[in-house]
Amino acid sequence: MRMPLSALVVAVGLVAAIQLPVQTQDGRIPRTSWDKKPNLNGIWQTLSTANWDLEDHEGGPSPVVVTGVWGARLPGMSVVEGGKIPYKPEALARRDQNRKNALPGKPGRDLNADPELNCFLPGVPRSTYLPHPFQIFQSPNRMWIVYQFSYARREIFMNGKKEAPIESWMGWSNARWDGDTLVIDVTGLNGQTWFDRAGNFATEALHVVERYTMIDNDHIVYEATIEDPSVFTRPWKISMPLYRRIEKNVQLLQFRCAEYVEQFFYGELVSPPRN
Amino acid sequence: MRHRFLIAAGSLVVVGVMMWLADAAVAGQAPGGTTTFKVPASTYAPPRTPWGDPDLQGVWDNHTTVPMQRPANLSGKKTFTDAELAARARTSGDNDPLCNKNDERCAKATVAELDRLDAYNGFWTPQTFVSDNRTALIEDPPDGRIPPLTPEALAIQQAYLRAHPATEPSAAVIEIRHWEDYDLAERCIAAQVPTTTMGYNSAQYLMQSPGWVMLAHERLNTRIIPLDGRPHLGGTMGGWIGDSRGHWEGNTLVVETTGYTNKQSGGSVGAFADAGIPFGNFHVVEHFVPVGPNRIHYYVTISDPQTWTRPWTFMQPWEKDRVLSYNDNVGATKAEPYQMYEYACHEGNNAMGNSLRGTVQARQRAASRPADAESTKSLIGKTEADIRAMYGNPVTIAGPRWQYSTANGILQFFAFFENGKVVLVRPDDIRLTEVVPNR
Repeated sequence: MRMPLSALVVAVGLVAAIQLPVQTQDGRIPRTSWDKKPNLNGIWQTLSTANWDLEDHEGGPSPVVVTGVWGARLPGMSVVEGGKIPYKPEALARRDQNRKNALPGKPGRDLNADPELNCFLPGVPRSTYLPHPFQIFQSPNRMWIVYQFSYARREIFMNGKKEAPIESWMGWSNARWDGDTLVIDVTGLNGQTWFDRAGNFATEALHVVERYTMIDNDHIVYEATIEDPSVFTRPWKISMPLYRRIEKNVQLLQFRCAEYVEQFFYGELVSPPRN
Repeated sequence: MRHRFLIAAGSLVVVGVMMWLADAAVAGQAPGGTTTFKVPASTYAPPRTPWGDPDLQGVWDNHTTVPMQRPANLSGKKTFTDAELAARARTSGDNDPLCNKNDERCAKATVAELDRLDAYNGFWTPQTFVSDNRTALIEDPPDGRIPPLTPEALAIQQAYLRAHPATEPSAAVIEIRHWEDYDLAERCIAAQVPTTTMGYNSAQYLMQSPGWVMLAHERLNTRIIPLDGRPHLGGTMGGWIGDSRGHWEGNTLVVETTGYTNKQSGGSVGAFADAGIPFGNFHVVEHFVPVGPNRIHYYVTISDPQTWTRPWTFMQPWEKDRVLSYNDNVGATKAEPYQMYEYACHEGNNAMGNSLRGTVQARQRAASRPADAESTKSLIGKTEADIRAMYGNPVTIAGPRWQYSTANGILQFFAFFENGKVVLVRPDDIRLTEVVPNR
């Protein structure tokens, strides 16, 4: 579905949009034996730096000076169609406040900080573009996506539309096939995650529609449309490729970061041992 | 070095060690003692996935009250009769709602009932169980008891419990001084693998795809098990939950797990090994044995010659897609097929910070503990009118329990009445002036 040039909003700065091929070449993508749909089973990961900032971002020094280049900010081009996220003015002020609060730089758990900093569940779509692999499991009428980050995972309901019975960090995912594109409709998000480290956010009114389009054996084009009328003036869209992790014997490893923030959260609350 | 220690411990132990080492050499068994126990073969052939593996997919629950070890008073008795099981069954619904101020049961509650702090879990815990007529989960050794720890493992465990007294199950004082005084699951890091029943939220979604099995535990763990025969990662790369490799033997899924970290923060809810037992050397083999369309017998064999004197095996029946009934707290009973929800443990973990802060507060209070006459302890024996005169009407009343705020905003103060007089106060060691009058 080629997008006409006139439909692209020309924005200041660089835009990295993906143009899908006119048709996916059926012979190039693996298909399941049971329903001939694209077989998305496997371990996938993005190469984008969207987790730092969905919009254009230059490289920069680490906010924690003594981490040197380990903590330096990576540069990246916007993954947002049109370049900029269309905030309402009052919401933009809150985004900018988030940006200031993202890294408190002192001990103790701070619920105004970037949720990723605290090892909180990343929600959708951020879990897709964290610098960690994830694994898609697909079988007849069932799908799960398991992320290496913390214990993030999603049950994807393939059979009919189940309404989100409750809010959660990772939301409630209902999927259907649109031709060869898997469309996942996500509601029931709890409004406590951010889109990136730059403070971009939404509320619990957030509605995300993901599209996974496999274009060859090792590449999926990932698109997500973001809608939250209390924060944005209109729906907007991000896109990026997902690359299959093709190393022999590759697997997700343990990244149970709740342990990694214990000293950070609780170091100042410790009492000496009894004996 | 180890053998020298064993010799010092007694000649009987030395003989035992030499015997099982000899058996190991002759029988070619796994090191660390032998057993003749064999997991039974599957008695049911499940349908197959499109790629030819037995299809075990679904939500599996293991909720049970069968204890891990056979109680001493049931020694030699492996199963209950139908009549004995019926006598033990509860007649209430799957869960009992928590007593709250809208519930007339609170008005009738006694002081002892309201003073209990363990009412919380009563709401969440289902009261019906996967059917099982046994007296213990352990199948081997036949006496249904965990084999003895080696002297080294016992020493390691005792050192750990000395350093973290709060993790000892019978600890008289639960005082959290450091985050490691909480176990692995309460730190929201992981549940011990393999998990036994966790009281509630104990289900696992078993998902399959070509070459993989994935076990999404309702709480904390997601295990991803490749079936392609690749080697283990080695070292401690398996982290808290170990590194698993699986294969099919007929209809039975066999999973082998090694490569655990050895940080010993075990003894967590659903753990099979108590706090302080080192698990870095565990070699775990699980057999998922289908016995019916909705039933698996889940066998777990644990070998670790540095920890136990011989391998041992427990079994838990698992039931698929259970339908639970629950009271909705306004008088109706509803049924719901088992759906696993998100368990955002770390995100909502306020207990850790509160416990640590509570200990800091308690230490400060103990250092400046008031004399009885100046503390809330002196309120015992006072009448309702006395208390009202001092503090006004309580913020909340639940049956015989009156609640007030305190000056630090964290503690709540409770006075319990019987026959119009205070019989109990909590806490009993704060200054009278720290209770905030409610005018």
